[in-house]
Formats: sequence, C-alpha cells, structure tokens
Amino acid sequence: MLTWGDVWAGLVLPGATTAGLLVVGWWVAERRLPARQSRSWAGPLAVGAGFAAGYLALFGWPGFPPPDAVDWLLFLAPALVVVGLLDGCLQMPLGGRIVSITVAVPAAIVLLSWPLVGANPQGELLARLVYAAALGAVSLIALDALSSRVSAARLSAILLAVALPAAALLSLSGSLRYGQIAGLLAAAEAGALAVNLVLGPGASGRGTVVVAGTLLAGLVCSGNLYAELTPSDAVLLAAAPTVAWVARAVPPRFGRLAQTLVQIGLVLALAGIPVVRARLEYQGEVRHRACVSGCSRRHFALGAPYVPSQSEIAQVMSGARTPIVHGELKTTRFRLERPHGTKFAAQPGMSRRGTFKDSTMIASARHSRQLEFVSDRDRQMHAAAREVLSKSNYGALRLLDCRVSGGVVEIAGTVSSFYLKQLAQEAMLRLDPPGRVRNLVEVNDETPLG
Amino acid sequence: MARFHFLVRLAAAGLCGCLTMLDLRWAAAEAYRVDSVHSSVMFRIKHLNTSFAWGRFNEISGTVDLDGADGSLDVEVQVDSIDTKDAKRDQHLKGPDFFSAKQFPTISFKSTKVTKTDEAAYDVEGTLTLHGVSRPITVRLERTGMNPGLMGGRILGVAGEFRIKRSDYRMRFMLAGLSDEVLVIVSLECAAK
Repeated sequence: MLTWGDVWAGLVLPGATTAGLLVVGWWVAERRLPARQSRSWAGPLAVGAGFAAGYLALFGWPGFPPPDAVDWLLFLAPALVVVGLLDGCLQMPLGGRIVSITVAVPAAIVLLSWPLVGANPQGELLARLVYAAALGAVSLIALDALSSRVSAARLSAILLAVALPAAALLSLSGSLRYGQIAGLLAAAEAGALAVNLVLGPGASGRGTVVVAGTLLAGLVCSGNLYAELTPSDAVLLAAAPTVAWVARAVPPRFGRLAQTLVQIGLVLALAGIPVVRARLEYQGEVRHRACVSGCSRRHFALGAPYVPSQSEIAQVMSGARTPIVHGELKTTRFRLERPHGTKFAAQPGMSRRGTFKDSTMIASARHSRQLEFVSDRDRQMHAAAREVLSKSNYGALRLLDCRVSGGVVEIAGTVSSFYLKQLAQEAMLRLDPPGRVRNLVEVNDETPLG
Repeated sequence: MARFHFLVRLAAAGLCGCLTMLDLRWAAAEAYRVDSVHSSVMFRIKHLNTSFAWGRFNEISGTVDLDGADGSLDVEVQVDSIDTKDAKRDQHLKGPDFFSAKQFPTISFKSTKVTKTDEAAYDVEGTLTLHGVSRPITVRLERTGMNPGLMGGRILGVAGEFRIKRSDYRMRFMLAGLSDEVLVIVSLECAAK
C-alpha cells in the first residue's frame, strides 16, 4: 500500500537531496572548470546523502549494529561516499579505482550475508557469495571505466536504467521493502540525471559508480539471499551495466544522441528481461490461485500442481473421493495437519503411499497413463483423436484427455468457453476411423489456457 | 461392624485424597516439555483498519516450570511454520518485509521472573526476541488444567495472551495497511519430562 508518506520519503526526498547537493557542488567547485578537468566531490556525496536521507525517512534509525542485515546498506553509504570522494577529488587512476571497487563490493556482500554465513558457513553458500562478489566487482569496474568516457548525465541515466528494473524486480520477488530500497537509489539517480542534464558536462558523475553500484550490488545479493530473487535474475541485473560498452560500437556519424539511446536502451533491455519474466510468473500464480479454488479435477487433468483443501483431503482419506480423474499421479507429497505421522493408504490411481505430515497436500498429475484397448480399431481411433487434439491451435484443446472404448471416443477436461467445447466435439467427429463421441468437457471461464 | 467398615472407607478415601493433593503439588513443581501438536501460538492483526486476520505457528517447542523454586518458561517458535491459510501470504510473511525467516528463523520467549498471582494464575516476566530484537514483556498466564496424560505421566495446560507493537521489533512494513498492534494468543499443553 503506497501512501503519500512513502512517495515523499522514498522518491521526493532522495531525489531532491541529490539534486540540491549537486547544484551546490556545481556552484562551489565546478562551474569555473572545463568539463574534463572536473574534480567533483558533489557526485558521490549527493547520491550517498540522497539514499541515506530517503532510507532514514522511510525506515527510521535501525540502531547499531543493525539486527536486520539489509540495514547495513545505510551504514555502507557513508563509507562508500568517502571512497567516491577520493576518486572524485584525486582523479584516481583506473588501477586505484579497480582496487577500491574490488574491496568495496566483497565487503558489502560479506556484511549483508553475515547472518547466514556466520550461522552456517556452507560451501555452497560461500561459493555463491564469491561468485556474486566477483560478478558485481567486474560489472562495476566495467561501468567505472566507462564513466570517464561518457557525460555525467549519461552515467546517471545508465545507473537509473539499472536501478528502476531492480526496484520492480525486487518488489516482484517477494520483498516490497527491498524494492523500496532500490527505488531510493533510482530516485537519487533521477535527481542526479535532472541536474546533470540542466548543468551540462561540468557536473561530473565521477565517483558515483562506486556508491550507487555497490549499494545496488549489495541489495541484489540480499534479494537473492533473503527474498526470492533467483540467481539467474540477479546475474542479469548485475551484468546489465556492462552492455553499455556495446553501444560504443555505434558509428560516430549517427550522433551522440543515437549512441546514448542505444546505450541506455541496451541496459534497460537486459535489466528488463528478469522483470518481464517475474511479472509473467506473478500473473501466472494469480491466475493459478484463481483457478485452484474449488476445482481439483481440472488441475489434475492439466497436470498442474494442486493444493487441495483440508475437507478434500478428508474426503480422499475416507475414500469418498478419488483424487485422480484423468491421468496418473506423478509426484506426491502428502502433508496433513493432524494426526502427525498417520499412514495414508494409496488410493486407486495414486503411484505410491504417503505419510501425512503437515498441513497441505501437493500433487501433480501427468497424461502417461498406460491405456488398454479392447480392439485395434479403438487403438487407431485413440491415436487419431490424440493427433487431432495435439495439432489444435487452441492450447486448451491440446490439453484435453481422451479415451476410446468400444468405438466411443470420450473427451474430458476443461475449457474456458462453450465454443471451445464445440470445437473439440467437431474435431472428434472428423476422426478416421469414425466413432461416436461422448463429450465430457467442462466449461469454466477461469481456465488459464483458454 | 458396618460402622467400622464405614470408618475404614472414610480413612482410605481421606488418605487417597491427601496423596492426590501431594501428587498434584509435586506434579505442579515438575518441569514440563511443550507438546507441539497440542499447543497453539496464534496471532491476530487488523487488516486495512477493517477486519482481523488470524494466523498461527505450527512448530512450538520449549519447557515450562511455573511452580518450581525458580519458575521458568522458555518457548521457541519456528517462523517457517507460519500458517495463515494462504500459502502465498505465508511466503510473503516469511520474507524480508515481515519476519525475514532466513535471518531470524525463531521467535523466542525466555522468562526472567515468574510470580504466582492466584491459585492458577501467573505473571511471567521475560524477554521476547522477535525479528532479531529483544524486548521485555510480561505475560499473564492461566493454568487451564493438569491431568494424567494418555501415555502416562502428567500433562499441564497453560494459556494466556499479550499484545505487542510490531514496530517495536522493527517490523514496520505496511503499517498503513496492517495494524501496528498484534494480539498473540498462546495455549500450551506440556508433558512432564
């Protein structure tokens, strides 16, 4: 639930703080210098201060040391600002910047993952963290190397093109709070972009990469460790800034604007892939949940995971209900609230016995049931019916189940409209060899595949 | 003769009564282990300032010794066992927005002082550790029963409720939509060790 307070603290405050500090920095130090001699201290300070101000306004003071690992980001911000200031003021050579990033990123990841690493230092977890630190550092070094070749505005736009998808992705990956934190970085970068566009190349972006990039890398790592951000999505997000280099291959005759658009477009596209994927998964879950309510048979028929209610489990236990209608149980994990450890006798159609352990039963079905035919004609009819259904342009028809017995073709399953049910019937009427059709298809407009 | 038999029966009954009372006194001072299957830790929170949403934790463990010389109550709840009748919501609650189960896998209450306020009532002062934050609270517990168990030994029942502010435990997410105050209801069935 987004309130005006969240908008103020999460967007306006970090953006305004960053923009204000950049303007002050430009007024004090930058305006008299040529663009390439910029020795800005304002860039990293503005982004770090904007992020910290928004963080404090949104989540309050976490105490020190913070109990929640992600709150270390607030304390990391000033330390990273110092590193950024050194880079901005001293014009560190690439070697020095590589060293600072190589230290900053792993340090951030160690701090953020300490609750897990300290409690149970498993080899797999450590390997994952080493990989994350290496990937984050390489990505930031690439972006930092690019930062001295592009304008401050373009650098802010690239960082914004990563932070915005990161905010969306983390929100879709089980943690709106992490999404808000990434939103703080996006707001700070948006403020920097606005000021850099107005003030021109004099407002340097140098030193901001280590601040914004390290905070973002740490946040993505936290999303993977504590929320449900998948490793592949995290890798795509972390690698996104590096593709900005590709746009430098755009010939100069197309102009700087084209190069800028390609650069930002590529970064946005790569960082956007996991967002689109997560969004589709989320939509699928919502539709699946809508579909699950009150209908078990259809889900078994579709081969989708199904979580029945306690009353349905009770019916299965008492033998009043056979859970499999079409197909065969492929995997079973039976869990019932109580009695703990009650043995569960396999019902007809189930592949094995289960033991009730907890509160839900999860099962899925497939269509690989061994079929028995009384005649070769039935076998031919079944093969023809399956072929017709499997070649249908409608996904729901391809998922229908069919049986043939004594020359009667029986089709079953669920579709979303009577039109599709009629299509299925007509498809069966054109079978060779022909037979009678028994149409048991159910119509339910919540069916996910139409 | 009949009068003699009556007196013998009366004496026997009195002796049994005394022994039972002694047994109960002895039993009350015993240490008990929380029976997870027959115990409940439930919570209630107001949704959108409109209605109450309920949830529970299914895995509870701990020890209870309310009548001992140094009365104690130590209870631990596995955050991962949260159950609000909706798997997706449970997943969100286990995430970093609320309980952050991977970082803080347990919620614990450890008593520091037990005061018997009535025949079957206790004020238990202790530390509640939730979401990595420890704060002192006082829980008023009522002894709901003490009887022989089905599997031998004695069983003890205690119940109570208390209110906490989740913001005190740095669970400040969605304070506009989910109330800050949470009612926690505890009912423990414990078997003698």
